[in-house]
Amino acid sequence: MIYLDHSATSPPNEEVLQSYVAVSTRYFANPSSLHKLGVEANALFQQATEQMKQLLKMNQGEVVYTSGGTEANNLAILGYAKKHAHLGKHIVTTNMEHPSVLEACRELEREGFRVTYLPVNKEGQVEMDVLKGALTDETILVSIMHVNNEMGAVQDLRSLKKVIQKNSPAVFHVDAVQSFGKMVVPFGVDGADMMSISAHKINGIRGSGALFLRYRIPLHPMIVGGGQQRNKRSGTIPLAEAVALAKAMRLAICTTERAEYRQWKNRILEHVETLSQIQVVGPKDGAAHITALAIRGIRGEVAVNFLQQRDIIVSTSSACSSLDGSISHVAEALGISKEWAAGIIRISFGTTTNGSDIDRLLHALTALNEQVK
Amino acid sequence: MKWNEILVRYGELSLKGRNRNLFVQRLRKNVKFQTKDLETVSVHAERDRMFIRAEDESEIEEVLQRLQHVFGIHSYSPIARTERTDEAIEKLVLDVLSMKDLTGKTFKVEAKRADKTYGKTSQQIQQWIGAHALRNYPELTAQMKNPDFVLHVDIRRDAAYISSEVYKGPGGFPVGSSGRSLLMLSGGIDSPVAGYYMMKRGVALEAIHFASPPYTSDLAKEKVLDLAEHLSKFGPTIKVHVIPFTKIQKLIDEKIPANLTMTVTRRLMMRIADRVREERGLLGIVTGESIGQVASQTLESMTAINAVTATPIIRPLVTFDKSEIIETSEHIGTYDISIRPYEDCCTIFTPANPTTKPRLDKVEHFEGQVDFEELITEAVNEREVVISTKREKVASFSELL
Repeated sequence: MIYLDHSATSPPNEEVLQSYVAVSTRYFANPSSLHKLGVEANALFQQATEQMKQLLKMNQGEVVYTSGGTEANNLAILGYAKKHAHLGKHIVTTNMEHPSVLEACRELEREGFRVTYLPVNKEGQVEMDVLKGALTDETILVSIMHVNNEMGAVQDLRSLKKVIQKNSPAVFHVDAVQSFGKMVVPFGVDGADMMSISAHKINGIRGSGALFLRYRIPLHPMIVGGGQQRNKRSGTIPLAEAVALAKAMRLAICTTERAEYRQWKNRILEHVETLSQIQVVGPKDGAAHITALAIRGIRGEVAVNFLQQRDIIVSTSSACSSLDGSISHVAEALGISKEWAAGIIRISFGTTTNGSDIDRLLHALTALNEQVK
Repeated sequence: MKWNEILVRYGELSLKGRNRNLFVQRLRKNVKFQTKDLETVSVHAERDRMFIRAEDESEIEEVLQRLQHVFGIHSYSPIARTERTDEAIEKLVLDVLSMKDLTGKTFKVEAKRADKTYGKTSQQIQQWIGAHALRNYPELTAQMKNPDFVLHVDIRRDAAYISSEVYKGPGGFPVGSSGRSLLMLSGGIDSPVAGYYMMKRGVALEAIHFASPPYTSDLAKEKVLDLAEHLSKFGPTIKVHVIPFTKIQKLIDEKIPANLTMTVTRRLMMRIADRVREERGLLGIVTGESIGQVASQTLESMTAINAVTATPIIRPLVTFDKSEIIETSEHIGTYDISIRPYEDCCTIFTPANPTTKPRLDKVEHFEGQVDFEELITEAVNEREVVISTKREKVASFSELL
């Protein structure tokens, strides 16, 4: 089986799983308890948090553990907007964000906020002038994803941050679920103020993620209760998940994109040039680990089934939108014609991918091209 | 390209006439102490600036991080060095610029030639280097007033030095240059901040903590030691005197009218602290009190408590708002430790209604009827002295992380 759907979920790393089991067994006590075992568990929790902060070079700031990327995005957007509504009621995002961002914004619209959904250009990027034009003194939050989950478009976060800083008082939230561990995510003075990540996209444990805050940014809690995590996210502290996430982050973090991912992507791009019924969608120089292809005249699901028969696992544009049958909002945002937009598949690499997987994929794509001719 | 050295500019100490040499030597010692684990680092202190050199570039990076917490430093800059030939200087200028994000940036060149035999005047160097930078980086704009950054070119006898970054230091005086004092460290938010400000003014610290087991737990004590260890990052290691205080607290509870127990407790703490201070040859006692914050911190209470000693009691936070104190504690990293939720000895025997305006004569009257002297001596003698940075650490979790 050739698994090329790492952007949906990546297989958990063996070492991460071992840590998860060891912590669950040995340090089962509640980190908030005052007794010895609780204190020990808390010390481990602090150390896991400290490790993450060091990896991200945060001197100050906070880590809020969540149940995953969706909750982290929700908390960043709803939590920030609700806490800072008195400063302004305008939010800026793009029209190709993950649903966990878009739906959170729609929720805010129902509560009287104004949301600007920025268009993206053909490369899937937000243009600086467009962003500048949308910002006002009332804008309190800008939320833009680093790497688009369906097409792999990459945003220039450093430039975006400069424009935001010059033209509004807004804080900058970045959904880095698809980019963390694949490339450097600018976080801090020259990048994101808040950053969401998800463990299972970086060979960690499902059901766990985090929101990183560059400094102590006040947030209205989405989950209320015992006031854990500085009252930003109640619920018993998920110690084993936190430790596993810290480990997964340590193993995943990188200083450049992986050269072999870029080579493999280029091989696919070159090969598709020779196929009449398949074309590349999304930016060719986008994220190295995500490649989106459109197949003329068939639905994405058909292509997924075809490749699956040849033991190759890919997904339609994104796992989240694969069940509702409609055309992807990202394809729409990129202005892809209807003839192609129904048949989009996404190929995404990860730690278990190797060169021979790509050989077999190219072979299968040729067969698919023949089939639909 | 790599940075060869760091130029450190002194803070206020440049103002201090004859003491200057002492300050500079102290700062040098403190910088050495903070970098003692870095093998290739060497420190050269001059009269008006200090140079820190390292063979290993990553150590220079590490030193840049650490200097932000060394008091007595006004600002500091990483510097690259090259020969004094035109070609070498031009090349290094481009290398230094290439490490910066230059889009839309404004800059100016400031040249200095300590060696007046060098072929160009400062003015000429500025024009030459400015034009060279603009030719190679058209995205730059020259601007004399308030530029985004200044490119420094410094021609010395041995070589040419180029820098473009200025990092802000924490200011103040080198810790240890203003004597030593005893910090009353409760485990709350305020006292570590008070200690921090004292260190900023150059005062080295020892700390005293009152423990009342079993009413207070080992964890409360650990928390205080953790605070002391954290504060030790800003200067020499802080020794903590842990005073067994249970017997005295029980006796107070038994013999003193409830509304005065708080005042009497504080007075006894102060007496014990003063004893330890004297024994250790320290100059003052430092507390985290702030006017009106709690019953013991009204001016009337302070008067009644202060009456037990003529030693200077220094209260760096006396006019601070709680929110300002919290902000500083977050900034210096003690907040997370301070908010750990353990009982301290001040909270357990607290009466429901402590008086906010204790009368000294009354306090002395009741206190005079009880003989605390023996217990005070016992508490001082039986104190535990802990060097906060030399404790056995709890389990290491490295294999899990």
